[in-house]
Amino acid sequence: MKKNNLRLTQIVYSAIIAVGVILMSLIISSVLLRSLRRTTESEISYFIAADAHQMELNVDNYLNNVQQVTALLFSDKDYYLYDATDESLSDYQKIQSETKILNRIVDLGMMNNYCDFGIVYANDKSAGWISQVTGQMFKDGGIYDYFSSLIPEDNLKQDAWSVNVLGNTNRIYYVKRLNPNAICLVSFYISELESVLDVPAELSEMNIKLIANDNYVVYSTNKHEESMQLDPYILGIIGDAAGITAVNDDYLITSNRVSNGWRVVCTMPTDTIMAEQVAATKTLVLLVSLITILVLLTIILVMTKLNYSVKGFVDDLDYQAKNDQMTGLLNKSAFRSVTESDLETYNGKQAIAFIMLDLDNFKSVNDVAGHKFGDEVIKRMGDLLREVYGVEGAFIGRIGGDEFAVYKSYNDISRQEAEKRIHDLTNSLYDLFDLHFKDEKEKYGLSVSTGVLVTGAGDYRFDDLYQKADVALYISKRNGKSKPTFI
Amino acid sequence: MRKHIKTLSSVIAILMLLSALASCSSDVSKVRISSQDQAVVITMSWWGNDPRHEYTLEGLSLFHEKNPDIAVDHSYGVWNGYERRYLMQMESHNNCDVMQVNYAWLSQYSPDGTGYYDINQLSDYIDLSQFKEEDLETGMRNGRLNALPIAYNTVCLFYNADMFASYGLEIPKTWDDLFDCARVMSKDNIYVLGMINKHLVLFINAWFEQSTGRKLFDIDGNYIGTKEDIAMILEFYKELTDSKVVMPLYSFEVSSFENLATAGTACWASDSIRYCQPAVDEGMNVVIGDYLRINEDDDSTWYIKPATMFAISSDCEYPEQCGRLVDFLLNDPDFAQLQGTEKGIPVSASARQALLENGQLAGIEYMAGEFINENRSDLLLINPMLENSSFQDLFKDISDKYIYDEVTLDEAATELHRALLGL
Repeated sequence: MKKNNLRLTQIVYSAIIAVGVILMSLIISSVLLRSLRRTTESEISYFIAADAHQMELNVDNYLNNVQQVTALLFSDKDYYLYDATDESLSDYQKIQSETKILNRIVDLGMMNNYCDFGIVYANDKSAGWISQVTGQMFKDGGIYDYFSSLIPEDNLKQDAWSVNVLGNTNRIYYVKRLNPNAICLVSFYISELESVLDVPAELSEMNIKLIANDNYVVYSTNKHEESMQLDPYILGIIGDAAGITAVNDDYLITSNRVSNGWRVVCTMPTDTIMAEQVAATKTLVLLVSLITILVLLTIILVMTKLNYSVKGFVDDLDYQAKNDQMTGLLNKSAFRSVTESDLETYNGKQAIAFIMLDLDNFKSVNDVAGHKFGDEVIKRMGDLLREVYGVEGAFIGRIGGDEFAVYKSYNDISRQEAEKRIHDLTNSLYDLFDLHFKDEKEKYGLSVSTGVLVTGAGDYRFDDLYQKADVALYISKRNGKSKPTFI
Repeated sequence: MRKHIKTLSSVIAILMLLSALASCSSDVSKVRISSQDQAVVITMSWWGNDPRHEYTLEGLSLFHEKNPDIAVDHSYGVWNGYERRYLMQMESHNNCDVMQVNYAWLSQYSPDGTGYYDINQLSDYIDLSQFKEEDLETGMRNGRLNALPIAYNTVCLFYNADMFASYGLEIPKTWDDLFDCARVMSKDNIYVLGMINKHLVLFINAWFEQSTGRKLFDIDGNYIGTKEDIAMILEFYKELTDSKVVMPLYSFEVSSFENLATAGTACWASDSIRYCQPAVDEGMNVVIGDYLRINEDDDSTWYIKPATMFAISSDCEYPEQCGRLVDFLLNDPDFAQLQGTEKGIPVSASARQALLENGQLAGIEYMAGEFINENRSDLLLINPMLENSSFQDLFKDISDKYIYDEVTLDEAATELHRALLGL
């Protein structure tokens, strides 16, 4: 019963420790993963925001360059004050002026890849480079009025940027007023922005868009998005905001405003940027799982080892408490305990045998042959008793230095049959004793006296049986030893 | 008990070892180096108009798709001013690696053949077998293959046949025919021809050479004309404008032919899309007239040249990559289809075959190309000086003074003659 309790306790404690380890692993993993995700998001957001800011600067730089080059037409009044609509000028004067302007534009035009770089006058005449495509767009006239109207009256700089001009979706126009009857018209292909908004190979999944004020996609690394309105989902997240980085489960989005009011919007699927984090998560989960399994295996191993150890230790202590170390027989206390326990238990017993044994002249053995040999004799005597009475399942004890006792209750045979069997066994004991201890008998006069009590069933106490058997033993001793006395 | 402690110690040691191994992966003290996969960047420049810019940019994207190891940075512009940009780049050694060049530039920038890379050395990357010997010869300078021709070009005379028919006039065959037509059309304020300065110079030079049998420049590009020759040219030019044969340069616009302000236009065959296609799109019957002569039976003096050519910088850093780009631009069937006949009918056999198979040998450019092929034997390779921008600019500046009566014929002829002597 006590063993079962111990076992149960061990299982409960093992389970508690195992659950504790698993819970702790889960908590640690969860905390680490959360921390890792936040750190990764934060770090990647930082770098992508830095990259987006660089894109903003690149676009700003490109647009500013166009504006600055155009502004160089203001370096000489002959460039910006010339008015082709002035009727007072002769054709030759106009040729001279326009030739001078063209030379200036040729110089300025070297600064970049322009589609258009020219001056358009109120009569739709132009000087410089007005491309075939732009010319065809206004072949029925109206080029000056159209572009002139793009410039807000309250704009001090008197300039404007425009895209999707009359459905032309592949170039960006810049217009700047030179005088009341002249505007400078500059355009470049949107594809020129490929080198300005170049996606680093390391961020190949990143999508970069240049968005005009009305959320019209001027340029996108995904060509299918160009000339469309910004994806409503993206727009719903960033609204009109600029200088922000937004992250949700779908996208990491940055929005940066450039100098002309347009925005550079970078988007990147969150799955992509967190791919490394997912890989790290898998590694972490694997590692924590491995460690958890190892810890659990260790606990099981240690518990098993401890279990065996404790059980062995307890069994040892139990054995040592109950048995005589020299003979392995029950010691006096244990013998008394098990005998009393049997006597108290009603199990239908019909007969009880209680035998007291004492080695005669054992002192001579110790005195002459030494205690070590004496111990050997006691041990051999124990073996002999086990050989004779052990087959009956009797309790055998060493109750003194050279005194032994045997107890046996019978519930399957009658008292007479029990007497006969005990008598036969005891007689055989003497035969075997003579055989096993022949030398000791001759040299030291070693013999054995026994007092044998066989009774019917009754309310006997240990002391009663012990006393009666001891009297019988005494009788044997008094009557010359080396014999049994049956009562 | 001692045995149990040993077992426990072993387990703890294993756990510590695993932890140490795990921590090794985040050891920041170690230097980790990874290569950056970056393409070789080469540069390319060209001039042209919108269509050329658009298909060339598309072609460069296609080239990068086919050659991910090469990225091409580009620079382009319209012809007017491009030459100055090119001069600046060549003189400052900031020119691009692969360049669309004008035939005239070979003698200007590579008089001894060393001004450009010898393309013969890149025959492993450029399939020169697609070109005939006579084609390759146009790019040879002093035994070195400086450039490869894209197509051939000549100044063609395009007429609105419907307009001539409406006046009961034949398409002009002689110079006198031009004046006869002008007398009829000018009543409606229509000029027979309109053209820009670079075409006008060649146009008038043809008349001068046919009329006198002399040339303004010798084979080495030296000016060999006289003041009288220049006066003769200026006088003829004024006669053309006064008689309303040629529309004044100041008034002529790309749309003049389309808008019926002129009955014809003179331009490079490769420019026919720019100057004539809008008229064709309007439903006009545009035809190519014969080369003008003094008399119908005379031998004509008109010139042919490689329309444009591709050359490689003599000091380019990546010749192989440049060679692969030039091969793509000249011989690749996909690029040939993008390019079509915008520069004329391709000289490269593979490019021409691609256009034939794709049904692209059609339209006004193809018509001009066929015209060149038909008259090839009568055409001379142009003297590069006739295309020299300094010569052309001088002619315009000084002739404008005379045309607009700012100076006399003698003053203009003297100034231009002196200027050409100092060219």
